[in-house]
Formats: sequence, C-alpha cells, structure tokens
Amino acid sequence: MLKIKQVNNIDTITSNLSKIGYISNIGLSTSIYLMLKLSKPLLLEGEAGVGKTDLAKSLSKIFNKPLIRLQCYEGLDMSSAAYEWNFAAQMISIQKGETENIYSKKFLQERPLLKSISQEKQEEFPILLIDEIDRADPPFEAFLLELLSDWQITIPEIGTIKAKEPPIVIITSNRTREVHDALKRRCLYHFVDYPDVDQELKILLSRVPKINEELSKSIIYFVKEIRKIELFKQPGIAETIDWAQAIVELNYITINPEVLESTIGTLLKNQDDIKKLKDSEASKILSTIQAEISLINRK
Amino acid sequence: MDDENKLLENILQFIRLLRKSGIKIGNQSSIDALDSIKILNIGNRNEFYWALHSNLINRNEDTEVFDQCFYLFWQNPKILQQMFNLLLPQIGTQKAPKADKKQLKRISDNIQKQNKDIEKEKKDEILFDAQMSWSNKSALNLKDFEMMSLDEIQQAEKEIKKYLNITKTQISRRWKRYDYSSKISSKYTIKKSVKNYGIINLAFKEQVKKVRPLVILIDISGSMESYSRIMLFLSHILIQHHKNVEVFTFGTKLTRITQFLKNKDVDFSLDKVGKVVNDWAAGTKITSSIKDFNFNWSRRMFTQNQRLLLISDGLERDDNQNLDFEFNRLSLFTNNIIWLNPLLRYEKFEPKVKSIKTILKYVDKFIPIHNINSIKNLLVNIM
Repeated sequence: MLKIKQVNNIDTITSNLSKIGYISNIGLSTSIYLMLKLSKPLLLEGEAGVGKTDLAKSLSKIFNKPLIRLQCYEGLDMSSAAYEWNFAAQMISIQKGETENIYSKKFLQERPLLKSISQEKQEEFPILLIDEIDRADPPFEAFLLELLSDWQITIPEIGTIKAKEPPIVIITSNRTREVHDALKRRCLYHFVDYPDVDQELKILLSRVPKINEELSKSIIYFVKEIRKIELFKQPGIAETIDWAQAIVELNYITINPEVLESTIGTLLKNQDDIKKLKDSEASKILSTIQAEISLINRK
Repeated sequence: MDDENKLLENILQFIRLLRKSGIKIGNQSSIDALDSIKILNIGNRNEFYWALHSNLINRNEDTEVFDQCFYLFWQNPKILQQMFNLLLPQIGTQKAPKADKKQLKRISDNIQKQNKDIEKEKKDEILFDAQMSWSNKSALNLKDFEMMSLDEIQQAEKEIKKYLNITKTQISRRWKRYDYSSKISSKYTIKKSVKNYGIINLAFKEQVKKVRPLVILIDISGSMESYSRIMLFLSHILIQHHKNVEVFTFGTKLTRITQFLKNKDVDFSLDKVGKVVNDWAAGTKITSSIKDFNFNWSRRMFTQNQRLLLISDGLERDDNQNLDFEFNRLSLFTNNIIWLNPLLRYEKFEPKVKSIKTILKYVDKFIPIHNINSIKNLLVNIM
C-alpha cells in the first residue's frame, strides 16, 4: 500500500499505476502528482472510453482509500449530492414535541459530497470521483464551487462543515458541454487523449493477460487504422480491451473477415460505422496492418 | 536562490506571452503554476511542460497555442525578450502637447452643440414616429425584408423586440416551493412545522419549468443575403433573452457564433460576427455543413431536449447525395426541427427542388420568415 507522503516524484505514480494495469503517460502522471501535492482537484476531459473514470478507481487501489463516486445528471441537486434531512424521523420527533434539535446531525443524512469531507480517521479519507460533470446543469456547478475551493459545505440549518483533510478529487467530463470557467480555474486540467500504439499495446497486455503479443499487435494496429477513418463514434481504449477479450474468449488467434463479422459489435457502437467498415474498409485495413506488422517484425 | 528567482520571473514572462496570445489565465492559476514548479524536478523538460500545462490551460483547444509559445519561449527566451521590448509602449519619452485653451473651448462648444443637435433630432424622430400612421406600420409588417432599406430594417428590429415572449417551456428535474400544487414537500413542511411549534402544516412543491433550449442554424449564402442581418438580429435578442441558445452560420462551411452574440450591444455583436465568419453570400453547402454539425457539435448541442431552428431557403449547391443521410442523423438528435424558409413568401410556392423535398421529410414545422408578421407568428405562436 502506497501512502501519499511516500510519493516523492512522478515516476512513483507511473510505476505504481502500471503495477495494477493502468498505463499512464508523463503528462497525466505529472497532473496526478501535482493534484496530490497541491491538494487541488483534477479535471479530466476526453472522449468516452479513454480511461478517465478508471484512473480514480486505480488511485483508490494504489492508495488503499475508499472511492466515493457521484454520477452527475441533469437536475442533480443538493439532496442527492450533498445531504438530506431524515424527514420521517423529524416528523416523529415533532409529533413527540421535541422540536429543539430537529436540525441536528442526528437527522442529517450524508450523501457523497458531504461524506467525502466528514471523515474523521486518516484511513477513511476518500477519493471523490465526480463523474461526467458535463451532464449536470449550471446550478449544480455553482454549488460545487464552495466545496472545491474551501473544502467545506455550508448547511443553512447547522453551519459550515469543513474537511479535516481535503479529499483527493477527480472530476471527469466528456465535453458534451463547456464546464464553467469558475469551476475550471479551481482545478488542474488534463485532456486524456487516445494513447499511442506503444502505450495501447502495454494497456492491452496488462488488461488481457491471456492474449499473445502477435494478436495484440494486430488488434492495436487495426484500431489505429480505424481511428483514421471518419467514424461517428471512434473506438476508445475500453472498446479495444473489450474487443480483445471477445476475440480471446472465442479462441480466435488472428483477425480476419470472419472474426470481424462476429465481434465488430464490441468495437464499434454505431450501425452506420459498422456498415461503413464492412462495406469497403475492412479488407483494406487488414492488408495494411499485416504489411505493417511484418515490417516491424523484420526490424 | 538567484537562479530560482530568475526562473520564476521567466515563468511570469511566459504567462504574459500566453495571455497576449489569447489564452485566459487568472492570477490564482499563475500562483499555482509557480507553486507547482517549486515542488518539481525542473531539470526534466517534460515534467516542467506538463506542470505548466495542467495549471495554465483548461481547454484542449488552447494546447496548440501553448505548445507554440512553450517551444518559442523556452527554446531561446532571449529572442522573445527582445520581441517583448519592441512590443512594449514607450512610456514617458514624449511630452504630451500643451493644450491650447481657446482650442479646447472651441472643441468643447462644438461637442455641446453636437449633443444638442442630436437631442433635437431624436425628438423630431420620436415626433415623426408618433405621427407614423397605422397603415404605414402595418405595411412595414407585411413588407419583405429583401425589399427593405437599412432604415426600415432598423425599424423592423425595434418592432420584433416587442414580440419577444417565448412561452413554450419544459419541465425540469428541479423542484421549487409552490403552495398551489398537489405534491407535498417534506422539506418545507418540516420547516413550517418547526416555526409553528410542532403543528404540522403541509407545504407543497412543483417542478421548475424552463424555456426549452434552442439551436439555430442560419444559412448565410448569397440567396439568403437579404435576410442574414435580420436573422442574426433575431438570434441576438433570443440569446439576450434566454441564455440557453446556440447559434451557427453556414454557407460553404459551418461556424459557431454563439460567443460573439453574447454582448448586449447588437451592433458590436454583429460587427464581431462579421469579422469571424468569412463565407458571407458565398455558395450553399448544406450537406457538408450539416455533416460537420452532426460530427462535431450534435452530441454537445442536444443534451437537454433542444429544439432546432433551421433558417434556410434549402437551395443546395453541394453534391446532395448524402443530404438525406445527414438530415436523418440530425433528426435522431432532436425531436423538434422547425424550418424557417423565406421562399414561403410566394403564395404558390411548391417544393419541387430535390434538396427541399429531402429536408422536408425530417422537419416538424415548415413556416415562412420573410417579414415582421412571420417573425411575430414564430415568437408568439411557436416558440
């Protein structure tokens, strides 16, 4: 188990993440390092399936910290995100005539955001994942500003609850809309792009242990060529891993039109893209990657 | 220590360079960038780059400019320093000319006279306006924008503002207190009860209604030239009135202009749009523009049940084999497409052109947009 105080350089982050199968590049590792040292939230933007949410899960594993996840959606409000009062218990208390402490912590139900700042013990200080912030609406973003700058939440009936230690906060966005500048300026920023061939190969080998290197190269080069085509939904790393797992489970040892026919649904998720690939592109790409791989093997 | 101070000074210069290049960087971000450098091993160029990047950049689009500045600056800062010196204004090298008192008085008198003239003109104008007959006004409402002079267009813009009253709303997932609803609010009931010494008085809530967001695509090709200004004006007032509006122009390419219409001054906004958009009154490539929109914008624009206003005559010069495909895809993102077409000014208009027939298949409402009355109908009855 790694402790945050033991992290003295960026390489420690990279090596510990790769031990559990998350391959990080220098840019992302630097941002993570600064997030830990400066106690600032980290905003990760990027296409779906590039590993933004997975990073939070991986950090939770390497630091052995609980992961508190808040999935954002339009209309998300304080009662779902931060806290809610136990109305039933309060009602009973009122019926009994006990109205004095009706707004005390006894009746306060913690939701993810309040939970993330109200832990007492060191080992309970969590990693907070605010997932897909672009799905939430502007009023919710405004509510986050106090939390992300001062690590506190103000509850009108009780007062301000401040974190003993700022949680590690990762915010993800798929860029379906622009996140407000006021939120962005409180965060470190990193755009998670599709990985290069070497990095994606390492990811595949660590996530799909049963796969052999030859097949994984074919898969990676095929996906690389597909990403050059104008597709409506480019395959992300998650889709590459799913596709590789499907091929392995079906005991295929190479990629050919038959394999594509039966497994393409794990790689491409749009019918028009699948049709485009099947129509003309698949055979062209297969011959291209075969040539490329044999060239590399000769080297 | 001196080296460290020099480095921090260079970083501040670098931040100034980024700001001059158009990247917005706040003071806190600058401070955080300096703090980051202090805790890193600055001997590693990559780590240095990423430490600055993660603090100073918060939009992926700015990365290219950042990369160019980083390469230029940290490659050879001396060259850039010289450039900086050239750019800085020469302070205190010239004495301001002594003001001629008589000249100043003359200028001041002229300005005052000008102001009085302008006020008199305005009064005359108002008087003239008030005397404008009812028949003149109704004639203006019916007059096609294509036939209007600049003065008439400006008058039309004033008229249009009066009808801005978008009423079509949709229910959101947020709740607000409303005692005439039938849904009980536990939260407000408890609050009320505490105030009433334990006597439970029910409080109620209802779902907040919000104006349905809008995406506007404006055709600015040659055939739509006479309508472009008034359509942009309409978009401007819609943005001012209701924040959740996105606006694009298309002719030979698609351009997003929402951010340029946010200024309250309409002339300032339209002037900015004029500078940014560079395919005014050119050909029409509807297919490629819609394709560009589908690929790059539709997933970002249609996240909250937006309606689409398409303002175009539908006359396509592009190869329209894929027009059907692209509009089909577009219709999957939004369930309400309103097509505003100035060709409907002709009473006997029939959609015979292939592109118009294709688009019509995916449209929910097909209405004219050639005069004030048609805009009034749009704002009052449809929006």
